[in-house]
Amino acid sequence: MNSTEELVARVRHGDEEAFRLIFDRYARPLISFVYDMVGSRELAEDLTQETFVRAYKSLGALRDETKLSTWLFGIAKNVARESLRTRARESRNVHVDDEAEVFELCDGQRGPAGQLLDKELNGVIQSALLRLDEDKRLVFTLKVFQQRSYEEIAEITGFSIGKLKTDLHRARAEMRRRLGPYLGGEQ
Amino acid sequence: MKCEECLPLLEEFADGEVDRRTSELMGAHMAACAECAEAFDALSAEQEMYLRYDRELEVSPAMWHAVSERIAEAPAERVAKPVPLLTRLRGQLAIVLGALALRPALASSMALLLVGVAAGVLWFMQAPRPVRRETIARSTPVPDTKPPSGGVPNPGPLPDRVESVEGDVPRTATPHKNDAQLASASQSVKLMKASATPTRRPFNPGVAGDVLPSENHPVAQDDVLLSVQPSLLDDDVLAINTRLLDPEEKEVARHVEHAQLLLRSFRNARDTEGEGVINIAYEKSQSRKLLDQNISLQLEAEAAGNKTTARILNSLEPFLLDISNLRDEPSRDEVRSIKDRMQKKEIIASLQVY
Repeated sequence: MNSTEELVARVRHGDEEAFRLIFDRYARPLISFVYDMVGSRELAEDLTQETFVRAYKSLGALRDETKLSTWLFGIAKNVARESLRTRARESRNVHVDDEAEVFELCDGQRGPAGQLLDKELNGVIQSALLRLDEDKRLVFTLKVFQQRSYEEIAEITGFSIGKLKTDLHRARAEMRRRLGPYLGGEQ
Repeated sequence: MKCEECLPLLEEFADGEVDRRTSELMGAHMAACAECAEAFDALSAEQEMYLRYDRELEVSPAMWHAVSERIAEAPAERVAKPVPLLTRLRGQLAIVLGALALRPALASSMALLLVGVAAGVLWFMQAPRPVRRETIARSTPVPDTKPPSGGVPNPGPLPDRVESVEGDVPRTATPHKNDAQLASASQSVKLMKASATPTRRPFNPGVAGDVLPSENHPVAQDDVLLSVQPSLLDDDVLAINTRLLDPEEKEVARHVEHAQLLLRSFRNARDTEGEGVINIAYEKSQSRKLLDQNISLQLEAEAAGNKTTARILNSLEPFLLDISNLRDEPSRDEVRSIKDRMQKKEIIASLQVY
């Protein structure tokens, strides 16, 4: 197995296969993260591609190769935020569009009851996520879905530990309030 | 510890972000306090529900192709040169000068040598230099297409200049050209040489210039990729691509993703210096659940002859087993031992690749 440092060094020497391995390793968590931020499948794919292209172009700026993952998430965060700003300018009410998309997802094929419940739950979680404000969604996604430590989240977002703790606590509370019925069912 | 102190810290505790001493106190308190233990269980159930969140996203092979095409246009120097050239040269010059400063005799010898070299270079630059015919000949058939990435742009209409300097004619032997024209011709030849000479790029499978056999038979994007990178056809890559398209592997993919999150959570569990324990109750319970599933999925993969899946699940099993078998509050060394092995085996990276 290639270590991250080796892969970065190989890419810096022009090794395509090494960059492909980096892509294979990080594409899935990054696309999930971006999707949680923007709420659109196609847009998440495009933005993940943009993240890797930017990473490739500025790989020389990566000082600590052991933090490649954190660095990539930092780029993805910037790319997602830029996209959200652009969309916000284009449409004053992003949440309405996102909700429509969520319901569209929920209206998929009807399968067994369990699958339907899971699908519904997915839709509800995504809807609740998109209702969080941007900072809270960012911190919540990185902690709860990506299992990043507070220190890593602080590096990715540039927030202080105090701010991210506050945002995370409030995000959890909001999510809990919106997912109340489903949480009751879980217990 | 009291409930008023314990409850506000529950989320940090569940995130593995409280220090060792606080973790011990909270663990002891929750063992005796039903209210706080219930709140912690609710938080764990919440986390479990989030882990079931399935975005139904797939990383398609087309995504890599798109990235690959776009990075082929990226300037190579940004990748290859993290340290600016001038900075490196300055450092090397400083070392040389520093060495000379200690040896006056050597310094004077080197100075004389430099004067000699400089005189030689000046003489060489003033002497008439022939323009080689084959350089121009190579440049001529380059069509006026968009410039290759990272290379020098096509200089535009040049045939008249090419004809005028044809042959092994010294520059001084073209009496109908004035100095400005000569400089222009020289620049043109340099530009053409640059555009005709293949520049080394890190990789650019999408650039047709590298592989296109003929203008009349344009090669499809996938063909170009295969021509440039035959190594991409190895079994693992094919297996990955096939897996991405196979809906039956979705359950395994989800399992692997959950396992990856679990291992990441375990890795982030607070590991402070000094004696003490780490509370990993949540990771332990998750690990047990995943272990059962891992065994059954591994058996299915083996029965189906899916070696890649069986191999990844097999490599995951010891970690799930070890975490499941830990005590409720294992010592720092016990946890560190598993973390070290996780790092050594790079299991999280393997799961991510899967």
